[in-house]
Amino acid sequence: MDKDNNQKIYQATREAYGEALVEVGKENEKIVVLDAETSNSTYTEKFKKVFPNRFFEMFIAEQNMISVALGFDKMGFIPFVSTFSSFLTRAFDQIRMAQYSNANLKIAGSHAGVSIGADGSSQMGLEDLAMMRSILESVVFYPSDYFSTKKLVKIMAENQGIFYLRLTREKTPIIYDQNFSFEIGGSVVHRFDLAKKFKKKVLVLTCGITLFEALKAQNELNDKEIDMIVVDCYSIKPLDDKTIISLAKEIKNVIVVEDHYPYGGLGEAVSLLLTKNKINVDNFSHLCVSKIPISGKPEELLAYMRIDKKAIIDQVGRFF
Amino acid sequence: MRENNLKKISQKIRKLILISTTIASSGHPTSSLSAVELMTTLFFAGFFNEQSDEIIFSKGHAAPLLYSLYAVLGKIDEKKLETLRQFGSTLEGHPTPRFSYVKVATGSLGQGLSIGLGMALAKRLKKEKGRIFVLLGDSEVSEGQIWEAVQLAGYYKTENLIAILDINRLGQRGETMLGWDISSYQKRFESFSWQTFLVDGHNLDEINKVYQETLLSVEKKPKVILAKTIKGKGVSFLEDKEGWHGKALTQDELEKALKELEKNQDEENIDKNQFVDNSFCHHNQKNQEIKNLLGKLKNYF
Repeated sequence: MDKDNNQKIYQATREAYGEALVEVGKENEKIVVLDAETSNSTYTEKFKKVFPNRFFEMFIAEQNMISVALGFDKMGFIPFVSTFSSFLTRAFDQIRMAQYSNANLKIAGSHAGVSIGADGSSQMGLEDLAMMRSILESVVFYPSDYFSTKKLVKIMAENQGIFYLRLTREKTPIIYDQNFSFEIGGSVVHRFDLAKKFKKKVLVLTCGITLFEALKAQNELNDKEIDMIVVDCYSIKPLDDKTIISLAKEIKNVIVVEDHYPYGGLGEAVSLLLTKNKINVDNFSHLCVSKIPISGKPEELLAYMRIDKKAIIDQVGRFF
Repeated sequence: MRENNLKKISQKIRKLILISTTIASSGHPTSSLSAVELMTTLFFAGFFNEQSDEIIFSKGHAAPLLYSLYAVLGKIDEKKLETLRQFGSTLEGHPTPRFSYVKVATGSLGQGLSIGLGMALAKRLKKEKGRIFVLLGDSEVSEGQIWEAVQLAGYYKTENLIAILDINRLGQRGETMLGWDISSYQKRFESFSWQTFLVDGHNLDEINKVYQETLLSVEKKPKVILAKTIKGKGVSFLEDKEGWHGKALTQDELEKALKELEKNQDEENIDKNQFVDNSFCHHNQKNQEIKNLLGKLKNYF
């Protein structure tokens, strides 16, 4: 746990994943954990330490890992599998096939997005949301902080089906209380009550690492008398349709921000939702990874891809 | 006598494979025919324990064989084979769990062994008895995932995992990389710490022996039965011929094939008391079903 100057506590969502596995593992002995030689990065080593018999090292063989997990599922276990989100893509056929076996499969992809920084493009999961959303009946989560991650892991353990949990490498501030509730198809609206009176209004839909960029932008724009409503769309599939539709109807200026390629992620999901429901907005902007990434510091990469606080504020400037 | 029965059941299954695919006008009869004796012996000679064992057809295109086995076992009505590959039927082109006796969908090649490995590890964790059998095609062994599974099974020493490799030499468009070079398969599996067994995949006596040896083995290693087989076995104009993968016979070809199979044996006298497990006895029907199917078949042309 790290603290910054404002005494905010920072903790990585991947670490929350490892800790949550131990907690759900204690409640349910059917839970088994498989990892492709990344257990010290995904923190599944925490589970291994407590339940060595229920942890299975799969080594660097992701395709095999997914199918082995399916085998565990069909024998009555609840398998959680994890590796870097980038490397899960090579097991897409196995995930695709698992849906035809009515799989109960929990997949976690860590080190998602350009925000991993220095390791470079080969290690960045930038297609994973598209891949996992494309599974017909999948559920896709991308939590931003420690406690939301823990709650969502619990939901994954308790519900049947193919679930994907996107995890971030960087430590992020803990923003939710541990009693806050999260659900499939849920979201969290961040809005300053006092800002409601401002005439200029912007709706920012985001999730994961870029939520914090949006919240920083929100603070700054509040001083400029702009009412920015930030929605943490941690449940990317299904989306919180009701909340998003009602806010988009009211606000009319929409920005989607995500650390993912333009195709198949949150932006396209929101765009389809608005179109299907005939919500006409005045402005719609999609800030996402639209260049081939390079190595750098996380904040440099977020800036380079124009998915950071500054990019959001600049975009708002173009609206008004 | 038991051998004789297994032979008769094998021939009956051959007929069902050919008839059902011809009615469907598609499917993979030749890939099914190569594994008939291997699967018939597994199911009808008492080696497969329904209560504790699992079977995965990793070569999912052998679905007509799978369905025919369950028809002869009496688990599904033989008439249901007429619905193979038809809209709404649970007998899909490649197996899915819509067919009650299948737990996982196969057909995207190279995945079945990994699933079997997961089941084997799960059984070990549950301290349950029983074995996981996986029927593999030789062409799918080109998939990298197969060797990921072979390697990991060797590492975990899953002695309850038994792969049956149907080495019929031919893939979709021609010969596999290794053809009938069984010893290369053997070396490869053994180098990953598997115990290997060799068999002529159409010799019932040998197959019986190899299953006995495999199941009696006390070696703490995963096991593979390397079976030399013939694609299209049992029908002279299909045997070991290129160009027949994924093709159903026309009605004329089917009649020719069935006559050939009839000539080879009269299947009226299957002695049901000879089966090891009596629950498996549902085959003492005459040719009537076949005739019914053929009658039905005429309507399709």
